[in-house]
Amino acid sequence: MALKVTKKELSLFTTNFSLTYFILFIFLAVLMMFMDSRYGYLKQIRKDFSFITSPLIILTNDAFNFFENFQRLLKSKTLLEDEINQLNSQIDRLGIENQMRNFLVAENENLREATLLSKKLAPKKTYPAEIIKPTIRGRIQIIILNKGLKDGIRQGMPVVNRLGLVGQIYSAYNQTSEVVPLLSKQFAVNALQENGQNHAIIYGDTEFLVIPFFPASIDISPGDTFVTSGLDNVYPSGIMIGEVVNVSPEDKQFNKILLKPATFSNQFSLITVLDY
Amino acid sequence: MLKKSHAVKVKQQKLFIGLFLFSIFFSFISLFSFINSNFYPEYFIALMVLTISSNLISINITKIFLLGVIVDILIGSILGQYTITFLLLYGLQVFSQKYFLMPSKAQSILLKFLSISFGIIIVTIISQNFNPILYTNGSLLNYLILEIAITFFILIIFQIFYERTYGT
Repeated sequence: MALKVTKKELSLFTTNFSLTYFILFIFLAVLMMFMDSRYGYLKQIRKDFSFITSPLIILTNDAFNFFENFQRLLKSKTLLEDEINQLNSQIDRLGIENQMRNFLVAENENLREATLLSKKLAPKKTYPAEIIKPTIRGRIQIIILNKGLKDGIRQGMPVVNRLGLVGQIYSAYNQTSEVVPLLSKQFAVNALQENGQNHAIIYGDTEFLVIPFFPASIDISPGDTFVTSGLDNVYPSGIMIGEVVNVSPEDKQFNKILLKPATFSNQFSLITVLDY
Repeated sequence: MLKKSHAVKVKQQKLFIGLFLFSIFFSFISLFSFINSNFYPEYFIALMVLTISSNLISINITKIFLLGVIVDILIGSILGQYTITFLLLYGLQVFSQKYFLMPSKAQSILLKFLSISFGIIIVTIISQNFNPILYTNGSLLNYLILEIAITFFILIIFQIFYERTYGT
């Protein structure tokens, strides 16, 4: 007996499949593509659904970055350990140097007493501070510090870092204070050539420090350095100011000297304010 | 066809959700950037081929359409790109079931491989039409071969997880 086969079983698609729906959905998909390419709906939909998709993207990237950051953390940990070791050896070296310095200071004071010279003053107190941001107010270059009157900072205090002189406290507020940096045109300091022989007043001049009139009879050449003299009773003596980079004759009697500061305000973030 | 027990069905539904989340997660990560910065295996195509061919979840054409739209919103270059791909993959599966009843294991694997290749080619054609990418490190053909190979490898991994839902 021949098996009866229904028309449905003979059709191309059988199991729960409607060819009409299939064609309809294909048509819908093509329509969506057409509409999206013409009107850019996907961008808008993604924008509307960003509250769902953004956390997903952030989460996946965070999870992936976690491993990278973890690797970096391990690497930084090793680097930090190396740095700590280096700093420990530096502390030892500086400790030894400090002992020698204390001996020299005592010897210097004894000699000054014996030769009836006035006492050389050391800073009474130091205040470590952090630079918030170097800025320009009007035409004055200003560095803002995170320490102010409440921390003991006062107007006129010298500001230094490990490389040399940074500037002077220009104004002190309760929480912050402002520093006039070396290169500001408002800056001037009494300086001594490092060999201890020649005095000069150094001014800030935006890009370089300048000694406008330095006697032409005195030998000076690029590479020579200047330190604070301490004569102005504003800065302690011996703080590095800068290095001569150019000597140009101003007239027959004087040379104009340009100096590169020992330290630039954009090269550091920690400074020390001296109570002198 | 053997009827799935309720426990297996639940397991497979959970597996589908898990693999869907896995696909979202890895579709946003350039895991194969060492090959090519634009290289992203088609996790969703692998998942859909497995879902359609192995009845991972009970599926019908409306669900396929909706899944396609969701994937388009998540990772598509244009709305409808994955929708049409999934629909065509579904059509291919139904067509093959009609003509290759009870296929052998080898035939089944070959069908999956062809489905993956078919899906990737459609996605790439649509993608290249709307967001063309210049393949400076090799030809588009090389890219397609690599993409098909890696996506097929991902399908095999998915398949292993699928088979484990039966407890074998």
